[in-house]
Amino acid sequence: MNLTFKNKEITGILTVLPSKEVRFEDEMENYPFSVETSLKLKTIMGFEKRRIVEDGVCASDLCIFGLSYLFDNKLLNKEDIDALILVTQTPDYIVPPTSNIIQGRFGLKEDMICMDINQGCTGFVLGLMQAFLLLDQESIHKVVLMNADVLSRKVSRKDRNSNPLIGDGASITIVERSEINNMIYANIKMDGKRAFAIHIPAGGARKPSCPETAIVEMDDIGNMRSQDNLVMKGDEVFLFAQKDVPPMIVSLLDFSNQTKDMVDYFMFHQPNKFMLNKLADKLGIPRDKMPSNVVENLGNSSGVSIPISMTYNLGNRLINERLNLCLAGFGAGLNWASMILEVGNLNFNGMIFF
Amino acid sequence: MDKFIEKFTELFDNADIKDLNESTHFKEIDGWCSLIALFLISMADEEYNVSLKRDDILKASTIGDIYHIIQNMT
Repeated sequence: MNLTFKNKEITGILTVLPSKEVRFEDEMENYPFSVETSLKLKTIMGFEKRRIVEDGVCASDLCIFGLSYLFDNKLLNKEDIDALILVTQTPDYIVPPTSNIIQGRFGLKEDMICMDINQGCTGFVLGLMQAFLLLDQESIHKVVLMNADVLSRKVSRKDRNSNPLIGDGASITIVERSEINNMIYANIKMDGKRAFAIHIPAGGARKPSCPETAIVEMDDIGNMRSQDNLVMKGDEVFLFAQKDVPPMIVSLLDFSNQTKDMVDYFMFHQPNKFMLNKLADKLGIPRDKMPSNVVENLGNSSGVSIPISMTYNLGNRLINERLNLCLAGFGAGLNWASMILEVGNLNFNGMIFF
Repeated sequence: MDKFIEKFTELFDNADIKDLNESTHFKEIDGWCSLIALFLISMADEEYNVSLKRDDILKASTIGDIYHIIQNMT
């Protein structure tokens, strides 16, 4: 599905990363890899170091920390916030919405929209879409889009598919109306037939968490996890990214009347280094135009990985320049979403540590 | 088949791995692991345009088995 947006822009990005860092070498005993395999995994997949929260830290904690920073540094005024969107797969509670908890913590006004959106790796693109749609309303001038996840708490330490690369984090993106007549193009696809390729079996209404769902069991390739843990059909998800993402990007470029060369950077979701390098090669894009370094340094924090990549890789450049970016997220749903937009002259584009 | 064996050998990126043939039990090759399985899935997609699944690899024993699975999918 093609979408267009006009006169909207991102005016600031702040990412919040946990201070706690875990190194692949320290956890290698959890996985039955040989030394040779471990070394290969390090370089090829990007298993190196990642950031995860301490026990008990929630998505709202990271968001509140980030918002406090913005308020204290006069980068954002509480009264100006007309909408607060939180995209997360790890809300603090099933009820009430975590965005309302954050609203209440700061005593934000009542005349505003608070919304939790359950999306994973496509979360930043879909969150931007929602922010742009809200800004079409006369009474909405400034949207605060938060993406936050603490998925490390849902991944089994002995799941060698997911544990070596999972990371936590949050991002706060300010989205406002713009005088510049820029056109933003997006393409979004969703396939519910493959809904269970990325899945947490227990914890919802279908299968509530109980002592039985906490029992750790071995799967058919030696990974250990419980029904409360994230399970990913690695081969299906890998093939999904390889087969479905490139045609979407080609289609999006065509829809926006642009060529690959007109895009400065392809800021894609960061699943692992191998997948991103393959995607760049398939699309015929030089690898340095598609950053793939987030997993090896900070981990894969699902929907937050795109804004993390933007602050980590493009820092001051997005403050001083305007760059034409192609964003793409792909994952839980299975959903895949891409967007081409100019981003630049930001009021802030940085990273702080919780 | 020869070209497939050549591509299969390349997955290991190791000069010591050679002389593979269609009856080689690939899971016993030194260095075989889930990462190589991922490379195999990637190769099957890129070279043969087929979606090899983890289950297909689990059920197969020899390089010939994988080759035939791929052939049947094309």
